[in-house]
Amino acid sequence: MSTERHDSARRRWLGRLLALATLPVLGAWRAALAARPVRAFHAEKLDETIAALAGDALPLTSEKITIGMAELAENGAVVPVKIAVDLPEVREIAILASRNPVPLLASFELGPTTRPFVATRVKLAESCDVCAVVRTANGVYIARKAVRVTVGGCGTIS
Amino acid sequence: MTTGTIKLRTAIKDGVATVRALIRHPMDVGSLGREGQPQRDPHYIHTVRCEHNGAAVFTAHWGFGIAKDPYLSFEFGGARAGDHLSIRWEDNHGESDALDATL
Repeated sequence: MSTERHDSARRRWLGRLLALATLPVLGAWRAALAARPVRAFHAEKLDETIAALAGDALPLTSEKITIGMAELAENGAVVPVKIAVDLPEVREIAILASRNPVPLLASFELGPTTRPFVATRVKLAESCDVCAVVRTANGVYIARKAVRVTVGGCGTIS
Repeated sequence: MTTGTIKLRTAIKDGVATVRALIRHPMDVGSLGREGQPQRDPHYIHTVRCEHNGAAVFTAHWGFGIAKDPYLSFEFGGARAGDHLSIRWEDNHGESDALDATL
């Protein structure tokens, strides 16, 4: 009888201990998931966005980043963009449009086996510079390309 | 959870998988409600997460600057035919969809 009571008490304590032990693990897991660059998405100026993405690092202009897109986009609502990077250990690729109301269009986190390449379609409000900000294990790099837009793709077209 | 919004195409060459995904979503920037028009909140996918055999290979953080019915392509190494690939999106209205596929 008394051992049973002891057992249940021990189980209760063990359960609490386990719950306590998993808390930091869950915290780390949540932190890993919450890698969205929130501050950069809130920035309304290109420079602020780049600064928010780069953190303490100074972005270096790099020719190893290729921004693959047409120099003339007829429809700003759908503009295909490809970013390919010829640098080692790329962790993150972000795509920015200098004159969009929210310059940051997308940020991509890459795993260790993922190739430093991404293709998507973006909206451009007007003719602007499209920038790629790339974070590697060694630093932050940037490239830009001027694009002319015939019909803007922000605000009016969803 | 919505279903059937993700179309996926994969190919493997020399251990490198190419993934191409097309997602049906309005990606609406919203409107500020000028001159009698009702205000419309933005509606956009904020995260797309892809896993290869359970390991995260690619996570996209999006704003509403991504075009309607988003297209996404990426590549990763260490891929073999029969490997498991999952893709899941989530938007700012709490809607989501996921697709599991075999390479």
